[in-house]
Amino acid sequence: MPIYIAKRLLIMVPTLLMIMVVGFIIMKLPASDFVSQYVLRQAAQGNTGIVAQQDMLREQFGLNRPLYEQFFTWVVNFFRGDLGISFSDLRPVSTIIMERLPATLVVSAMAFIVSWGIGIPLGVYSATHQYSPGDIGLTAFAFIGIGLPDFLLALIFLVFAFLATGDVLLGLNSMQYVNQPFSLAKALDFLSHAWLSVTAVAFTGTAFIMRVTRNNMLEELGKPYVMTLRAKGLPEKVVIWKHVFRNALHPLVTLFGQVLSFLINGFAITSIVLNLPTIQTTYLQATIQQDMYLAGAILVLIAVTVMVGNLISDVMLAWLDPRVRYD
Amino acid sequence: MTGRNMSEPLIEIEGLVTEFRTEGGVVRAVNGIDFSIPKGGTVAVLGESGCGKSVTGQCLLNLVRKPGYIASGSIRYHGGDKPVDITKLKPTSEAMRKLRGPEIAMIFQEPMTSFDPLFTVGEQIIEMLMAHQRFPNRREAREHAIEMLRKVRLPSPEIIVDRYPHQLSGGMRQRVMIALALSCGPKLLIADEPTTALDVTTESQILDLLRQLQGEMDMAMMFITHDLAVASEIADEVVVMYLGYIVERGPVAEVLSAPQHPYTQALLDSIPKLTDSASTRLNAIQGMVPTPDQMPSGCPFHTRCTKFMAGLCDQKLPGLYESSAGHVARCFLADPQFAGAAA
Repeated sequence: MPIYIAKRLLIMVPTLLMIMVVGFIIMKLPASDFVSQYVLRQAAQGNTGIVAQQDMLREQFGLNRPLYEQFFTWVVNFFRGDLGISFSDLRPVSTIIMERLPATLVVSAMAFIVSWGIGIPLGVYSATHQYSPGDIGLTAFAFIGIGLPDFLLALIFLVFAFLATGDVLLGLNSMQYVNQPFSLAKALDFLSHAWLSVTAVAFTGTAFIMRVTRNNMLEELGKPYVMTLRAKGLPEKVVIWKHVFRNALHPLVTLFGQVLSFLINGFAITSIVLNLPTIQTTYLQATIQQDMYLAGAILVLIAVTVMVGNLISDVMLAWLDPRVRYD
Repeated sequence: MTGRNMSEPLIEIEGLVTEFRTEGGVVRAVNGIDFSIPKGGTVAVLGESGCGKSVTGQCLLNLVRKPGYIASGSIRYHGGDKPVDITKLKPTSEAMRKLRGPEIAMIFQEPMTSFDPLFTVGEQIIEMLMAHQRFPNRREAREHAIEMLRKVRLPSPEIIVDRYPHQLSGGMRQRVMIALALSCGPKLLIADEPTTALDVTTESQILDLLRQLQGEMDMAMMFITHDLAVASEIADEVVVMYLGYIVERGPVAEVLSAPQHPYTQALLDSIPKLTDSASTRLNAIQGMVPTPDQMPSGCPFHTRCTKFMAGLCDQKLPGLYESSAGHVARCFLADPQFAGAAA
């Protein structure tokens, strides 16, 4: 197993390089670049003097050098730990990411814990009580949850929260706490904002996890070994939780591979709709402005979480299922 | 074994009806059957797929899968201190759970899929022993599990005990299944086509093993099969089922040498004989088994019967008529009064 994991980790390096090549090419495909967009915006605001400086800006950012040179400088610096600077706010990319990451992780982790923590037991209940009133109610709830996009749900919550309290719960903190250092009051204020988006995303997530769990459980419950377990005189609890649930975990573990990247990227549309200061809003902004080092770094971050997540889920599968052997 | 036929019954099934709730309405899989299994004796339940024989076996453990349920009838079990009616117990009740394993055990057709793939075969035996408090600790339960694996003549049981089901062959898995079922010393073993998925050599080994263990452990057996040869080899008594009805029942030698019901006769006729020439066509029973939701009126077999009598067989369900001691058939032709009237 250690050899297998080492191999998988090693393969990640070329995979990552390929992702960087493709990402770089896509970012370079438009005829414009960051500077030309920036100049246009400034000119629109009446700052026409900027037009004369655009070549100088390009030179400063290294955008005038040949593409392959730009690429290799980026990759080499990247692997040395220098992620470059953001063109738009002139700070190091790593600083911006570190600034955004904690809030992103907290919100996504909360949504993840709620949707898996509630979705799995409800799914098991739903499957073991198939066609009971409880199951029918949960199924209806699940269809609403899956059918309504999470950002729409967030907007509905936003409206109701406004009608009830008069507060507009956009963002993740009230105005007076933004850019303040961490404090208990700020954390509480954070929670009073975050519940809205977390609930919206977790609602969809719970519904989805519940349906997946229910389907897997029903499939396993129909298999002949369940009859054997019951014929052995095992208590029903043992049949369900020790055996059927463990077998039904298989697809959930595969899904678990996507959880890491969900933590970084799970909130994208909701974040943008509610203007949350998460990494996804930064990512979208950076991509639109062709702020390429910032966008590139976030792209690599997502790629790494996908690869590591899949490795973790493969290792978990081997631990779970003796039939899966990698060496 | 035949001498024990008259001994006291271990389990008595009376008027058992099992139904399945389907979208097209209620379908009867078992249609009021009666038979009993004597202590230490073997009854073979014979029939084609879909005749209700497996469901009957599941009823004895109160394990009929939803949407199926026992609708009426009784299953009286006399193995414990006082008789219990299994149909009166809730499937999920503690009393029912305690019967499964130590009193009545079951082995299944598919040794491939009848084990949980995620646990070693040893663990699957040990957890059963622990669930019935047979041993104070897992170490002793494990010793007993190895002992059981040795009893079903698996080579190096101390290695097999830590193997996963997928690491064993079909025959080995069926031996493990037998070890598992017998590990709590049941008084009745229900064997649901235990050799159907195995090749012929393995089949005869498993049958020999079952017969030997049955003698050693003094248990009764209900052997569900579609194979007449297997039934004749292992059983004292046979019950022939067709579409949820018992069509013939009696001592094995009688039923196979002097079958009374046209269905049993046709089944025996359809066995190819070694003396047949290569050009002889197989005698198949004409037509198909009707699906249970298109249950024929009158006698269930009349749609395929060569001795079909219009106006009688499709109108009235024949009763069970006795032709000799303990040998009954559900056919008007076996009714002594009818035969007398016709003559």
